[in-house]
Amino acid sequence: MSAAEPGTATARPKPRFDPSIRSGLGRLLVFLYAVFAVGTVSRSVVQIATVFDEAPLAYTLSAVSAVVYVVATIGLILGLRRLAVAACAFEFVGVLVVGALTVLDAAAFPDQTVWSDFGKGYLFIPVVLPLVGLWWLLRGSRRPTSLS
Amino acid sequence: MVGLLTLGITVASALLALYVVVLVIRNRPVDNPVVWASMIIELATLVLLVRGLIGVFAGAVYEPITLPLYLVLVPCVLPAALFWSAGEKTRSATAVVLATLLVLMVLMLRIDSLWLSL
Repeated sequence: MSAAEPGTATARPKPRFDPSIRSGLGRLLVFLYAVFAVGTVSRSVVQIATVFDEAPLAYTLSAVSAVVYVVATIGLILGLRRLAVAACAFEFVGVLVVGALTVLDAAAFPDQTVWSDFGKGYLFIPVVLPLVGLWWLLRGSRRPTSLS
Repeated sequence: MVGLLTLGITVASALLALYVVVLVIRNRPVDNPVVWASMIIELATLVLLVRGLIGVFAGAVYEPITLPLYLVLVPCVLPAALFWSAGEKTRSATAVVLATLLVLMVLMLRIDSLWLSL
């Protein structure tokens, strides 16, 4: 192989699309994020369309969380690592901030959001999922082991 | 009848989940018994959809959006999971079906509570 051949002398830039993030554990993450996306979007649409005035802050935050789950799902499915990392990081910060607010100022939240009490109503999955997601996305891609 | 259906789907999902746990532990892909059992559960969710919608439209409904939404979404979950799981033969792909069965059980509890509040 000639040293002058293009692409061999310098290190290749990281690919913009990395389908490997949706393989292995990524496949389970895509599914869980998709479930949360469908659940939170449905819930949010119903809340905003029917009872928004009863708890505007809680329902607005529900809508924000729904958008984050949709973005994370899209990022994972399309192999957009940066987008998925940003969504997972936003989600984790959101769970911590909203979780703390619902504990410190419960009166401002007459109704629950997905992130209320650090995701207690959803078996604390909302606080664990972004951590697992960030770990998976930032540890680098690894080829999944095929089964026998 | 709705209570019986949700109970039946919950029990069937729990039993199938136990089997899938074994597959996950043994690092095995989703096999034919899982697909057949899933088809039976799927059939039950479709019966639940029809029976539930009949109940919603026939009776006095306190909240006419959430319950039909759940009833429509529930039959979509298991086929979507099997399709997504079939994409590769890894432990995580098998775990997708396990997670789905757990989600299905939670959804049955939710439908039960919504049905009782009608």
